[in-house]
Amino acid sequence: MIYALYLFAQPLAAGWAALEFVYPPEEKTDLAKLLLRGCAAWGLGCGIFALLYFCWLLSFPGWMRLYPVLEAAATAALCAAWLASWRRTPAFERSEPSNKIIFRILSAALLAEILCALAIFAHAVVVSPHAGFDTWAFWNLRAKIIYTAPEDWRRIFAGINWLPNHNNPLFLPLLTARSWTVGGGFSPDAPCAAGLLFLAGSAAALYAALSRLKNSETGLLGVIILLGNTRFSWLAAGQLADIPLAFFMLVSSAFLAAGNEDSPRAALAAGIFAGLAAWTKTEGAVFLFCAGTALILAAAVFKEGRGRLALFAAGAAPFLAATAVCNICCRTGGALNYFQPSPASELLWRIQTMLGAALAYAASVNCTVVSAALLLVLIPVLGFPAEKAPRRSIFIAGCLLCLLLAAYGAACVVTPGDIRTIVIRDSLQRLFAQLWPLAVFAFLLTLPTDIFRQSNQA
Amino acid sequence: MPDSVDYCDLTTIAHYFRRAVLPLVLAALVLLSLYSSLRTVCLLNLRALTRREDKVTAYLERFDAAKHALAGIGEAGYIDDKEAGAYRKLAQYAMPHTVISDGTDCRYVLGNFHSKPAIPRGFRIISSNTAGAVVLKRVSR
Repeated sequence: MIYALYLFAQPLAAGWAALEFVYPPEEKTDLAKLLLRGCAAWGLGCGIFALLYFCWLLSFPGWMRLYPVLEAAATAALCAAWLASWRRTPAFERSEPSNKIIFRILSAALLAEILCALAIFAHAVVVSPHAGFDTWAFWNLRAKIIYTAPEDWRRIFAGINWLPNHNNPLFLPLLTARSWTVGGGFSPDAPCAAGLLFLAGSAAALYAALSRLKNSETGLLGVIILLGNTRFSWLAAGQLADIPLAFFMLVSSAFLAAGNEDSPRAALAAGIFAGLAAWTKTEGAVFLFCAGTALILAAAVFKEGRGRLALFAAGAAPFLAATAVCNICCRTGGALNYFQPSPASELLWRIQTMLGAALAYAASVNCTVVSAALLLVLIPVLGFPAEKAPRRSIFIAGCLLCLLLAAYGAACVVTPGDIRTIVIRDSLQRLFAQLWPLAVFAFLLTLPTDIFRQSNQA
Repeated sequence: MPDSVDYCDLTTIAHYFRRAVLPLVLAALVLLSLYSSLRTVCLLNLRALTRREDKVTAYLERFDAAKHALAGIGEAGYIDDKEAGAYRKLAQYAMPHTVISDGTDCRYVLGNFHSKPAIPRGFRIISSNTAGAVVLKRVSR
């Protein structure tokens, strides 16, 4: 509970104040905009504190006990700067659902989904508080090293290079170590709390992004489908980096998709979250590249200036720099390790293995796969010719999804990673979880705007 | 004639088709999601909640005494009477301040024994517990 407070309240306060400068609020706001801003603020706050912790770790490793004081001072300074630049409170507009009956039915279904997700999460955490091998060996071990040996962490990191995936980025270990430093001791509760908060954040961000671009019913539907994939809740309880990555990818996509309605500063905010995604997991670097490409394509199709791309790059820069410094400190190539091509003679075999594994995964029919198929096949077919659809948003979200799928597939085929069936099946499940919120967001954007309107209003 | 053209207009047909089919698709998605979640909750093993058989927690306790004995030691070797692999990784997780290397080349060695400890020649025990985790120190080559 106390870790949830350290991980929620303080990052939210600092992130909210910082976001006011990065992405000033509009004159009018509503619940969806406030919620999206809250999710973004919390994510940004986590990024700021992880970065601050990393800088302190590099500069004063012997004085880690003073770090909570620095964090409190940074939060106070950000809040003071925000209050000093305060102009006026945005006017709050209350938006009514277009169909109250459907809204109530969906709310009840959402409540059931939330209770189920909490039950799954609680069960997994109680049965296995340290989670699976991937969690403690890849993520929490490095958090423990940073926390217990801040003066020696680089030497120990170099010594444990016999562990697999030792070149993963450091955002999550730093955030966990920061929670232990601020909270006063090691406990598996801190990464559990982070997992729960990123799960809730993903659901809230999806609701807010869809409510903002479509309507509140579509937002509710999105969260129901998101949590209906119970693997998403399992992975969140498993404290893996896939859920924070999915959260950052979703928030970045929401800002990118909203870019033409708002100021170009949305691209700056999108860049920040894409940078955080790259700092969270290697796949985040792929997302950053795909998001940049989607922006370039949108600029060409919708006749936009290139200023957005520059703002996007500026937003991503601080966290990309942190990723690079982490890789230098740990003497790993990070994402660069994956740019070594596999031998050309293996390409055909790798493509066959990949396709075989993907088909085997799809053939293990379960509810998640069926709902994914429904989403992937039916909704774009039925919904795409909608008259009032926000075409730029659909273009950006669809482009991102297609580029990411292509990039993931190409990375698995071209790079020399292990693609034995047991490994690739696990990877496919994780990629599925990473892309799930973005897929739900992209495909629900294609729904006709008036689909939930009552027949007498249509 | 203009009426029949309107009636056959593909856009209009697509509109009515969408109006008829799309709500059904969405309802199917909601029901499928609810079914998936409820089924997963029903399949949760409630007995596991009371058993508390978490291997990692058990190993953290197993290595507790060894962790204190190795405090301040930069690197320690590791020997095991089972297949090393995962146990060495668990030992590393239990002792994050010390690099756990495979073998007996270091001055200090962590022994993880599930049966009677087999002490290598030239080492003596400086810390042990009943669970079988021992810390050995090299006394001679």
